[in-house]
Amino acid sequence: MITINNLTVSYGSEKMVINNLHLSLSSGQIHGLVGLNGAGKTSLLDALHGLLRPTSGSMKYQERPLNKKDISFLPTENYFYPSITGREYLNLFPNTDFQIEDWNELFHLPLDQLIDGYSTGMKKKLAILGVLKEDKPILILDEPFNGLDLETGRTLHSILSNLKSKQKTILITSHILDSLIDLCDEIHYLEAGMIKISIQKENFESFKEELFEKMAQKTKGKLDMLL
Amino acid sequence: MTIVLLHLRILQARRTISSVSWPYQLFLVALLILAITGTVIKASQPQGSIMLSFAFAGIIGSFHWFRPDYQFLRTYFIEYRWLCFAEYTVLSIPFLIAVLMSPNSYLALCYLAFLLSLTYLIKPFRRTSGKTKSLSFIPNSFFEWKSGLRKYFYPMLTIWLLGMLFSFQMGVSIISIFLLGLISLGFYDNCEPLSILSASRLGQRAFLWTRIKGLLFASSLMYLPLLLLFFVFHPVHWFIPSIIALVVLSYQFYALTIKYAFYEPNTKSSKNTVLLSLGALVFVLPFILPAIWVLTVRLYFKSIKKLSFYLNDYN
Repeated sequence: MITINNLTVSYGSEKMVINNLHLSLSSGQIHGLVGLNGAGKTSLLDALHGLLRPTSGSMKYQERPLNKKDISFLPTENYFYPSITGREYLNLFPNTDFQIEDWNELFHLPLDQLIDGYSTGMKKKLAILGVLKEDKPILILDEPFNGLDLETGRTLHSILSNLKSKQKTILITSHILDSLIDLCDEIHYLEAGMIKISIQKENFESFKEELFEKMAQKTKGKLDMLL
Repeated sequence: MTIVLLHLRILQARRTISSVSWPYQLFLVALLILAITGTVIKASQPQGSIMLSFAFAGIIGSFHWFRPDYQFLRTYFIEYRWLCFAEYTVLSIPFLIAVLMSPNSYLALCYLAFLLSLTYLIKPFRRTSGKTKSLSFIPNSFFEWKSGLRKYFYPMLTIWLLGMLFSFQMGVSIISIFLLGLISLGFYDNCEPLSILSASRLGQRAFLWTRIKGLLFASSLMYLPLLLLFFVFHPVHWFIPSIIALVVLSYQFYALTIKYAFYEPNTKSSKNTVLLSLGALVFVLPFILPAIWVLTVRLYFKSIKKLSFYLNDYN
């Protein structure tokens, strides 16, 4: 289990992106993180992975401080070295047990071609393969479904469900609420750097309706004026 | 892991070099031989080896400051600092061997200590400063400078102000011009989207001239105050910063023409990178400057040809 207490992250002295946040993420569950743009999702994930230094608070995994060694992280936009092939990229991740060919049967990537020629979706698939190759107990995925085709989206869904049964702790952000509803055991709604509400699976649909209703009301008045 | 990454870097370099035509490859090999020879000769002189150490430290330092994969390395590899150090050491092998054979062999140790502290203490620049209002004086058509200055506003402002404030010290203005030039070289790295190109509604020649004028305008704004103050305090040595400014400006023109000669919307071509690094040798070996001028003229005509594919309808 990951336990986050009183986490605060600031950029400089003024801009607080995560504000005294509390969150518990159980092992063997898939957790979703939603929020509007700028709510602090990516900052929270960066802090969890140690890319951002928290101003205060604690992050623990199994009662000890959270360590980078435990986490596989998929950023929204992955960096790829120019002029290298997909296979060479995967070889950067040291896990000899990972059977690249077998896994690639699920992703259909031209691994011996240069990544420079890959489409956005192909690059995303390759980044996901890299994260899977790391095989760590915690998976943090920032917008993993972005750019994926329908088939790979379903494949990723099955992979994550499978990893969940292996007691991995999985945290996903996505702007596609339906993909999270379909996959997660718990969804956390982030607003202004704080968890506003955590919703259990049985309440997902009512949460979605409530959220959409709120958003529709917000835009209605403005749209009436504009159109 | 270190071996895997270094092997990958060699593969990358080999593929990138093979992506340019053979005359450029030949030119690159010739320049490399020249650079290595120059390094060995310079290192053999006591004064030269000190200068060379600073030059290499500056080159590797700026490489570290701007490296695009730092976040990737930090994300996936716990030993990311060591990986950077190993890479910089391998890149410096010709210099290290040359300096070890020189009378100032202790410089090799100092240099390695510098590399170690660089990788462990200095975090490459990442965040943008978002100085939108204070840069509104730069016309939108000079978008490379606008975006570049926005990105490196504070480092550039600091260097510029230090250069101005300490211009009574001869070396400071020179170093400022050199560093500002070095930072601004990155502004021409990426090719803009096609929509920006066509938004100008200019034909290829007119478009390229706007870019050249933009470069001249922005560079003058940056270098002229530094040069003027230098002329006031050190009138006898007026030619030193002028030559440095000329070298930097020539390289910027070279970078601009490369960008458009191999323009592909929204990309950063590896061909551009290899040609840019090839031209960067001018900072170590300024006597190759005429070669850069010849190449710039050639690339100018190539740019016109390339841009005509995208902008011919506006003629």
